[in-house]
Amino acid sequence: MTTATMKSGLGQTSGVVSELTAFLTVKEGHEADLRAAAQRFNGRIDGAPREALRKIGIRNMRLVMYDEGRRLLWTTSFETDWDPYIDDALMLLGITSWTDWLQYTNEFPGTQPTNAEVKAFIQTAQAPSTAFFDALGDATMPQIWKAQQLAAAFQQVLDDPAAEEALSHPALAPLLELAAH
Amino acid sequence: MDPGGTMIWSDSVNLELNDIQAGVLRGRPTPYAGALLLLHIDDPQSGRVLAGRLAEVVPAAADLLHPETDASISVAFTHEGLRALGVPQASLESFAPEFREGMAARAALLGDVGPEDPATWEAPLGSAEVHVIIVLLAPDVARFEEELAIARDAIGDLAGITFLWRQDVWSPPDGRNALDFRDGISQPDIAGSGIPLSNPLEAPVKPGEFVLGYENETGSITPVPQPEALGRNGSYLVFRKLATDVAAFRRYIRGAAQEEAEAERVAAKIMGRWPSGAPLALAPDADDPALGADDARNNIFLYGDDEAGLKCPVGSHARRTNPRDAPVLGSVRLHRILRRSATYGPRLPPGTLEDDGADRGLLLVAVNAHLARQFEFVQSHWINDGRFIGEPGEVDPLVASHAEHDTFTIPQRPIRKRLRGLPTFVRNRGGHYGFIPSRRALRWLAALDAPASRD
Repeated sequence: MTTATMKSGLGQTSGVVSELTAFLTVKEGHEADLRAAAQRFNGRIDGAPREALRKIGIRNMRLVMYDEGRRLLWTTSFETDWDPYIDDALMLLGITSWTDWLQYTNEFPGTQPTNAEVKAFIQTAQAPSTAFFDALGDATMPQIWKAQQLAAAFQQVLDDPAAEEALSHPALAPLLELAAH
Repeated sequence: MDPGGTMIWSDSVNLELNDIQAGVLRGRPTPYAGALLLLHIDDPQSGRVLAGRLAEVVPAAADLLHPETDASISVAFTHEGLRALGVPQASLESFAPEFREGMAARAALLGDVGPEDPATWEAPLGSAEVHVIIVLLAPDVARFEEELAIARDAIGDLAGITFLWRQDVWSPPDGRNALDFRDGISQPDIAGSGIPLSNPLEAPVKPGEFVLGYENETGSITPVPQPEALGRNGSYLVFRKLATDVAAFRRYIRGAAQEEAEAERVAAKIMGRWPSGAPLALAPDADDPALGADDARNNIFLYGDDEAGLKCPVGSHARRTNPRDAPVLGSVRLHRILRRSATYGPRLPPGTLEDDGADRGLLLVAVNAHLARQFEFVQSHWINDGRFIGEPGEVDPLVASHAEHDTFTIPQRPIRKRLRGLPTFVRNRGGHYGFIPSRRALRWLAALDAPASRD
């Protein structure tokens, strides 16, 4: 585990991204509660504006209930390491967003834990990953979104009948190179 | 492959060519005349007699080695047709799931939705009443009439066979399709078939991609329907009646260009070939009728030297439906199909920009061994999606159904051209999946009422 960092506990990194994997057990009789809460959590992240996602730094998240609903796999990856930002993440999403689903796991420390307890919980629940790869690991979300914006703006420029003349200026030669396709 | 010189042949023949129907391996002639017939089997005994008679008249692929026999009758059965013949349940269940479900049941995956929903299809297409599919293809009308007479004789006096539907197909002498393009040029080369290679720049495709019972491109054998006597040397057939709005196509390309020559260029960029059939990869700047007409040259090319699509657009119809060595998602060799498509309906008079209401278009006929991995993949990923070329917002400009926001990009220097507001030119009016049994399997089907013959 040479690539694991102290900051991320057992997680590995791929470029600017680090991952977190945890195997948890589901409180007996609360399978349906956990399923519903996990979907609520998904909805909160999925519906969050890009600015919020950028602040939280979350790249992806997966919750998998298995072993006939008795166990839960939690995988997620962040830009940067989660550890130094754990307080930020808890605050930005609101600690109740986390406790809403984590409370149905046996490993989670109660329904009103302190940030320190949550941090300790994540560190102990983590399982080391053997392999981790992110094809876009060399770029941050702001970089990717900026590239998308730039591409859209560039296409808008290319749609303008005056684009050919405008791009013929020597200073814009690198852009003209990209204008053909 | 010079016209009078040495042909380049594939490796030694190891397919059972005497057993495989000629129509599986035989390319469509150009020009051509033909028809697709659909029949219903009212009683199993009539169906079996028909199968036996067809076994006698369906030519073998071995005849391909004798070029004078370039007309053919091909026969396929739908899953319901096999059931109507009395094929045992265990055998019926051994066929590929997508064949058992049928094309209409696969509508959502194939993009046959909205105005192309099976509920809107031309009767009896998509119906469980369709049992037998007969495809006739000949190089001229006289030869077609002979084939048709043979098929009629086979059906002849059988009271238990009901004729359902006939779609004639033909090309004008120049071999052009409804959109005035020469088509049907490129076919996968099949290893072990003995058929001359059309593109020596690519290794021939393993025969198990098209004929059941042989090694395929994954190194395994695609599941063969059981028993072997029924499944081996068989293939799956696809047909779809694709109505084409030729007037809308002409209007669109005229509107997308300043002048007529430019309109022809835009049309060629959409197609990937010029009207003569000359590929853009070899003739990027102007049509080359001599190249288009030369079957020894018009398929020998790759796209590797044109990654950006400056010669042939990455999203053009021909490049999408056979990306060759272009950098796309997945392995192209796992998604090849044999095309036997043919034009139907009267030609819209040259220069006419208004629709005359006539029914015209393309009868898509394809052959493959694995419907899901081949035909259905091509339809759902290469035609109706753009992720495989990294352009999720683009679909096939010619044959896909278009949404308002669809675009088509023509790479060119200095600045690419982007077409918008493409109307839908082609609509599926219905179709079926069929199983093309071997000639031996036709006899096996004919003998179904004799229990001893059921192995």
